Parts: sequence; C-alpha cells; structure tokens
Amino acid sequence: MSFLPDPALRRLRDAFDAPDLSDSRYTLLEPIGRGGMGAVYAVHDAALDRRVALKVIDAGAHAESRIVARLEHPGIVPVHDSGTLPDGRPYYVMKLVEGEPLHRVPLEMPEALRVFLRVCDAIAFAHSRGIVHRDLKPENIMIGRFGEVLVLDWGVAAEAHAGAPRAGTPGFQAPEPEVTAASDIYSLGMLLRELVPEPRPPLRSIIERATQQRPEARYESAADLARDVTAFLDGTRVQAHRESLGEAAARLARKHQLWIVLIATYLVLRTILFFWFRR
Amino acid sequence: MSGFPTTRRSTVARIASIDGEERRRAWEALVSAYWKPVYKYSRLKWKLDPDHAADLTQAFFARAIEKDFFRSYDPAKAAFRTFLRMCLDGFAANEFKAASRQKRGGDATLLSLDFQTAEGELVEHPAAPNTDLDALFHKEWVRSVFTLSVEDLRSLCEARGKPICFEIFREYDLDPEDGVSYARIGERHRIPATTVTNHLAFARREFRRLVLDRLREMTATDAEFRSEARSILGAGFE
Amino acid sequence: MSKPVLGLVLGGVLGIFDGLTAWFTPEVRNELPFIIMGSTGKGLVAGLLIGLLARKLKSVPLGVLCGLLIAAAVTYPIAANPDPNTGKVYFWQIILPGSLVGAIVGFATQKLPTKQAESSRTAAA
Repeated sequence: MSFLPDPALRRLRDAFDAPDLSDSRYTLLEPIGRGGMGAVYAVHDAALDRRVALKVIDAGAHAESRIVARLEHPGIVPVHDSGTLPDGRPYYVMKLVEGEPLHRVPLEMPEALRVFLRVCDAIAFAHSRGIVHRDLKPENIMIGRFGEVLVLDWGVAAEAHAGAPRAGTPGFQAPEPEVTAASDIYSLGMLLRELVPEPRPPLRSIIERATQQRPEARYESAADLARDVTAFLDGTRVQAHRESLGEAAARLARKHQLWIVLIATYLVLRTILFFWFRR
Repeated sequence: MSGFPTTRRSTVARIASIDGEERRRAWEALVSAYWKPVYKYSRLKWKLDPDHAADLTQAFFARAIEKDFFRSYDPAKAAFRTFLRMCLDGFAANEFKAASRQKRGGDATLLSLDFQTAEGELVEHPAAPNTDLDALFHKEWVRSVFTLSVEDLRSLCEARGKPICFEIFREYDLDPEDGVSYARIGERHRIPATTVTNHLAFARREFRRLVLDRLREMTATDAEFRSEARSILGAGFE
Repeated sequence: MSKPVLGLVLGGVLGIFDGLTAWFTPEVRNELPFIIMGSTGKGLVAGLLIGLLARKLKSVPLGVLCGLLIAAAVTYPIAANPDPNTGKVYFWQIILPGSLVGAIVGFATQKLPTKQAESSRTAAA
C-alpha cells in the first residue's frame, strides 16, 4: 500500500468513527462534533422527513440516553429515539439544534448573564431530578438561532446522590473527588468567570462563592446562584457580597440612572429658564 | 465501546508464547505496525542520517526479539505504544553511549524492512518544524495501523468477490477527486447511487472492524484497547 | 409601574420642583404653598394624560412632542391669567417650565421600562 497522506488519514479516521446506518431509518449527513463520550452527526430521519442529531456513545456512557430522556426541559435537548449500531455501539437521536456553542458567540455583559441564568435554570431542573451534569463548560452550551439556550453533552452525567467519581474538563472541574450537585455549582461559577472575564465586585463575589474549594461553602443550589445573579442584573442587593455605603449608593444610582438623568436635566433647563427670565 | 470485535489474540500476549511459530508471527505483526514510526521518530528526534536511523531501527527490533524486553510490559502503567517508545528512547541512549556502529549492527538478525520507502515518505511529506515528537510518533503509528488495515480491506473485498466495494471506498474515502459524489461514482461504475452507498457502508463497516482487529492485536488489555481506539480519533492530521 | 402611574409620579415630582423654583422670585415668595400645590396638581394631571396617551405611542420624539403639547394645554389657563396680587401676566415664565415638565414626562414614558413593556418582552421571549 502506498503512503497515506494526512488528508486521507483524516477521512479514514472519520470513516472509522462514522456510524453504519444502512439498515435504519436514518441517513448520515455530516459529522457535527465530538464531545466527551461520543460523536454527534446530523442525520436525516426518513420516517418523519426531518434532520435530527444522532449521538454515538462511547464506552461507559450507556446511561446517557436514559438520563437525558428523563430531563424534559426547554433548556435540555429532547431525546427522540435510541438503539444500537451493527458494531455494538449504542446511539440516541435527539433534536438537531441549529446554532453556535457559547464560546463562539460574543456576548455583552447583560446578555451573557441572561444566558447564564437559563443555564442555571436547566441545571437546577436536572438537580431536582437527581442528575448532575459533571461537564459544564461553554462548549457544552448551545445558543440556538432563535436565542434558545440548551445544555448539551450529558455523556458523563450521573445520579446526584451516588457521589459519582470526578469527570469533566480541567478548569471547570470541582476539586472534590466525589461529584455532587455542588460540583455543578462550582462549574457554573467557572462558566460565569469565563463569560464575564472582568466582573464588578458584586459579580466577583458571586463567582467566589460559587467556586469555593469546600462544597458546603458554595451556593446551596443552582437556583440560589441564579437568584444572586438576577439581583445583580436588577441592581438589588447580592447576597454573596458585603457592600460598602459607596457601593450601595453607586448601585442605587445605576439602578435609577435614567430617573436621575431626567430630574437633573429638568433642573438644569429650569435653572437656565430662571436666569433667562431674570435678565 | 462495547461490542468491539475480539477476533485476534493480542500480539503483546503472543510475544510471550512458548510456541515458536506463534511468537514469530506476533513479532512480525508488531514490527510491521511499528517500524515506520520508530524509523521516522529516530530520524527526527536524534537527527540521524537515513542509514544511521535504519541501523538503529533494525538493531532496536533485533535486540527486542533477542532480549525479549517487551515481556516486561505492564499494561497498568502505560499503553504499549508509549512503552515501546520509552524502550526506544532508553535503547538509543545506550547505543549512543557505546557509539559503535559494529556493535549496533552487531550479530543481530536483519529484518526485511523497506527503509528507502520510509525515507522517501519523510522527504516528500516532511514534518513541520517544531513538531511535537510524541504526537508525531502517535500519528505515524495511526498511519501504520490504517495502512495495514486498508491492505487488509483490499484483500478481504477481493476474497469475498466484492472488489468494487474497495474501489468505491478508495474513490470516496482514500483518494477522492474534486467534487466526488455518490452519483458520479455510480455513473462511472454503472450502478445506482443507492448501491454506491451500500457498498461504501460495507467497506467502511469492514474497515472499522479491521482497524479494531489490529488494535486488539496490538494491545494487551481491554482498557488499553478502548483507550487506543479513542486515541485514533484524537490524532491530529493537518 | 404602568405608563399612566409613571406619568403621574414623574409629573408630580417635577411639578413640586417647578413650584419650588418660585422661591427665587421674591415678589411671589409669600404665595409659595399655593404655587407648589398648583404646579404639582398641574404636573399630576399632565403626567396622567401623557401616560395614558403613551400607551398608544411607540416613538420617543412623538412622546416628547405630545408631552410638551399636553402640558402646555394644561398650563395655558394659568399662564394666560394675570396674577391676582400684582396684576401682571407671567405667560412665558409659567408655560415654558410647565411644557418642559411635559416633554420630560413624555420622554420618560417612552424610555423607562414599565410593567406593560416588561410583560410584552417576556411574552416575546
């Protein structure tokens, strides 16, 4: 056999990884990406004549489809079908979300925080069903074409009460060896740090509280974390932050900025009129 | 990766076999998969000239067979691929200390390896400057595995009377023309596009099985096998 | 806060300020409480009307213009009448600040987030 150049190797690698769907209702369209514990492809569903996403699951992630199927939430991609490929690898089929992962979407601060709140909402829901995600990071959050925010890649997700072993991506991973819901809170804190690289003091306090080394020192729930971020957005008091008098005044001034500007404008114009008539 | 085929016994295990014939075949399989990565790695890492690198490659495998030093491989510590590279690093360091060409060649059995082809590949497809040599060794290993598996696939398709499957695989995956499509390949072979997809699916399925067979053969444990299968997907090709 | 309530509050607050400025005119300083009450009432009425109209509008320039005209109309009867004590007519001194209050309330009812705007945003999301 002659030499295989790099492009041929790349195509062979894709052929090696591609699922064999010849005896199924799906036709392979193109690879979408490879996440923790599996590769995702765009496929055509002949039965319903629509494009869907098919994830081929690697070893150790057999429970993924069942876990995701348990999580019916607007922030979590719904599962339509599951099965096994002829080579024995399990797969599941889910809604195909047209959009970009969070790390490729430039977001200004208030918008970034609103996206973050939607992520918190999905994670709080998963926690309420006893599931921890274990691999929260910007690459696993999809912003859809119509602004929908979806938490993807539940490949390493586990039962929250089981104290599952550590998994996920360094930099977003909590330090404790056994993963619980608090570990997702830590990852949410790291995600917030990534979204807002230069946070103002109250937001910095939120991040610090979420990313405490000891799990019990973090927010008790994703909902609590979301509550503090909402307070920051609304200009009300952030629980995690002890603010000085100056900070409180600045916060109130920011919150009522337009009122202050309007009244000041009125006073300036009124003063001009006053002196005009005094001439 | 449940369901991965387990048709071939591990070469790494067979190297320790008491059956001389089985041991010889295991060595052949191992050398065929690793000699090119070893040669290219030696050329780039120690900047050896082609003759010198060929001698080192020959001597390395000859000494490994003679002294049976792959027997000390412990799957719990590293992948066999990593272990072999570490053995090569140690072997080369000792050889350079001794610095004797006669000793390197010594009275070792000469293996039939086509170093000219390997050298030609290095000249025609040079590695980028500052290439990470670990990554290069990994990539060359993947290249070896894929090259051998493509050959296996060609033989399998011919043996089953389906040479067209390999031909379509070659035209679509190995060496595609610009604007290649199922329809265009179908026209060339006078078959419908759906038949092209079926043939391609067969070839890809068999290719995957053959790659996994090779990997199974070159690894010692199930965990190492899975990890190597995943590492193939992680290899970077420009 | 709905647009009419916002108009009412801002109109009232600016009306108080408007009345207080009479303190700087010594000849009317002894009538200050009545002036404050009058301009506050004027501000409240104009603010409410502007707020009600703002519910139908979705334009800042139009909101400012309507605010200005409504406040001028509400202020006109007071501005056109002579002062009972001095007998002088302070038309521009009264109508201009009054209209200014209207313009600002008109701007605020278009620009500040109100309850209706919030709920329609939520529904859109």
